Amino acid sequence: MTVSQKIWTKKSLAYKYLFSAGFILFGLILNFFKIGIGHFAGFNSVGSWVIYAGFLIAIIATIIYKRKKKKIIDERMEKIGYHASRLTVAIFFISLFILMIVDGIYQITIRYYLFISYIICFYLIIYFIAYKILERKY
Amino acid sequence: MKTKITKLRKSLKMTQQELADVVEVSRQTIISLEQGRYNPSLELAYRITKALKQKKIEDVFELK
Repeated sequence: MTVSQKIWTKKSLAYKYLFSAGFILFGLILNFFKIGIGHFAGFNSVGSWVIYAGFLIAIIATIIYKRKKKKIIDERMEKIGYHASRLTVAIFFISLFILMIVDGIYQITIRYYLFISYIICFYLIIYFIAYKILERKY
Repeated sequence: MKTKITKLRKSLKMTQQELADVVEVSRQTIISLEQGRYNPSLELAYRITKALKQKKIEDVFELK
């Protein structure tokens, strides 16, 4: 049985801050060298978007650390997660096939970053729904 | 898998949460086990048997 009680230590928080600092630094470098200037996901440059993502990571990490709530992940949850992942992967391949057919009928002209964002959100929702359904089964 | 968890737990005047804390699982897992929806691993079965003060796994779990 694998039981893990995830408790965030100061060390793990420091790693998350380091990660977010890396994002912010990368964003600043991109902006400094004027790489990726132009409209990107509602921001004026890719660099600004990366900086925003860095700050977001730091804020989320701080909130999770402050909560200090013991989170138990037991074998049942792992089993449900595993099955939900498998289901999501199956839906991923099916949806790719459907997208190929749709693209053949109506050419998809949506911007690449928007398309990827939507598709990631779609798979996250699929995983969440699959997890909730399987939770009732097991 | 048929279980006697509910009966044994109630005889020990334990709540589902208390049992869950002892065996280090979530309360939802205890509910699933009691309803026979989930079959535990050997290790979890041992832990539950011990927590319910039984000697053998067969005293708590039974194959249908």
